[in-house]
Amino acid sequence: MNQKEMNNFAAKLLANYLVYAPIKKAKEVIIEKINLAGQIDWTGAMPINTFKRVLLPPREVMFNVEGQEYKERLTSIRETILFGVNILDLQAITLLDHVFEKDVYYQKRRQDIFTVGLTGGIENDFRKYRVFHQAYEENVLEHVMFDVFIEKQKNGNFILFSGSEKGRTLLESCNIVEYENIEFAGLVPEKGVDNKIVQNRLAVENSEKHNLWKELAQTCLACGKCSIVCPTCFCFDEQDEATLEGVEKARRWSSCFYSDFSKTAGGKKDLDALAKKLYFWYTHKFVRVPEELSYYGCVSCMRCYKVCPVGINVARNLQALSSKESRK
Amino acid sequence: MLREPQHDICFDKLIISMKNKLRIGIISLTSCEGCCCAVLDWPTEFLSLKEKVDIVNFHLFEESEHSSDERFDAVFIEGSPLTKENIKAVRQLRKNAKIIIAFGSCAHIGGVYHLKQYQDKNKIFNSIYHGQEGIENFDVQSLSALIKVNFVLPGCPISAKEFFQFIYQLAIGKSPSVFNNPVCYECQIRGYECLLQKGEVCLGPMTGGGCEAVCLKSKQGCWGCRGLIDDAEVGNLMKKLRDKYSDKEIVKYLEVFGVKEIIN
Repeated sequence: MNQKEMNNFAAKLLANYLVYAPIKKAKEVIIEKINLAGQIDWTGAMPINTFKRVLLPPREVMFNVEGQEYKERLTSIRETILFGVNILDLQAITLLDHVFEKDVYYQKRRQDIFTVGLTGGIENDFRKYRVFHQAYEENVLEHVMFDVFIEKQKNGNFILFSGSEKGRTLLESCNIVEYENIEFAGLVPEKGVDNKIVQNRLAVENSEKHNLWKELAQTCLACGKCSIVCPTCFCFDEQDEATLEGVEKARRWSSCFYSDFSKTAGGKKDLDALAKKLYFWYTHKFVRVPEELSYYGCVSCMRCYKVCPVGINVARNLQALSSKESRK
Repeated sequence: MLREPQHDICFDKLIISMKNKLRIGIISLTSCEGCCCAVLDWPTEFLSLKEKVDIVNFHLFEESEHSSDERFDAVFIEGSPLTKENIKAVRQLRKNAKIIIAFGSCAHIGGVYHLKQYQDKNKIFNSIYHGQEGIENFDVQSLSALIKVNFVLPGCPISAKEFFQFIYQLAIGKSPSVFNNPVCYECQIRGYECLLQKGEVCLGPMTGGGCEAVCLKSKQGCWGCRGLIDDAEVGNLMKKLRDKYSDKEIVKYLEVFGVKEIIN
């Protein structure tokens, strides 16, 4: 399939669906709702923001209580395509899909969201993603969830893959019959969990007394920008909000860097020092998620480093934790 | 002199004691009246408040005279108690109201004209009034320096959204919630450019959000009008700013809304 045919495919999707895709704006690539197929950025560059807000809105109302009446707010959304999702962001979405597997609000919305992955010739250009902790294998697509995947080849042409029934229906509704089927083979590859996951877990686990946390606590501003921009940070706060009619239960994105995150009734906080918050953030990503799902809690997109006002670098910190000399 | 009023434990008891339709006053002291205007920025919500509460004293809305022994369930006080009349009125309001809410930056942490306190106030006075007589040169103080304040709705001006949310919560007898995420939370969600990364001064990381990062939307750094969040990393932010700015320059930003005093 050449670029022209690919643009036709995108245009067909645009006619029937709400489409979010990476576009070039000023010097950056940013994910936005698009109107024209020509807007799409095909370079495979890492966008500065994520698709997280489509799957998990920054704030959503779950239900209302009016008088004695309880009303679910499971409103349907318009069918939406996440177009041009790079492999790391697909992994992040795969993680969200697992974490929110039993969450009705997430799943209701997820039904109507299609993921169309994209890579600019994965193997060669993969270094561009600055992957710092993944051993990239050719069969990566078998262990990530997607509906359609587009591989851009060196000659500029495209190959299509389908990864689900939803994806096959989507392709065929656009009169595309030339595609390869990929069967999802579970999160964990046959040869076992990615060794990098194991290494990072060993580095972070029980590192509570490591000097790194004290050092980072001397610079970190606890602004929480890293959590907001992170494609895998999924913690949320729930709150009751009064309205003119009654009360609504809403949830919004949260961050373990904020004071209220670990606050319990009576005002006690488990994370009462910045060093603890930092350690908590790393433990969740590199210890607890791998423990529960044998999967990446961090997809190494480096967005947290890019938005950090004081330049805290997750890759460098993992190195520091795993180097033997620094371990105490 | 300036201090942040703490969320009051007695608050819940006060709310429970408010069974009937609430009587609410919105009072202006010395101020620009911007917070009162901000309430009227949401006219539909304001008019429909009458279903929930009685707004019995709000001078932007009605002109009737009020006696000084009028009772309230809650009073929102905007501005700073500067003149003798202000101070007298505030003390009277404290006696007459169950809940006092510091309404906006002036009542909360002293407001913009608190700048005067950092200079020679007589010199400033003379340069403006040229030694005219009969004008008093008051010390600027926040509300909590004078009376017990039960709650704070911060900001310059306040957020109308938070104001209505607060009243709705009072009306159903729920203890109001405090938004304790920094400005950076709302700024990053909205995808605004980070001014700290650009090397400009921004107090966003230590300042309470709820303002929807409205200043950052216009690429104006945060100067902290909403006061500090809990666990604010003030020291680290100052360290970051000192990379590029002298203490003298940084202090200028900290003085605008009186943040200088609450971080010390």
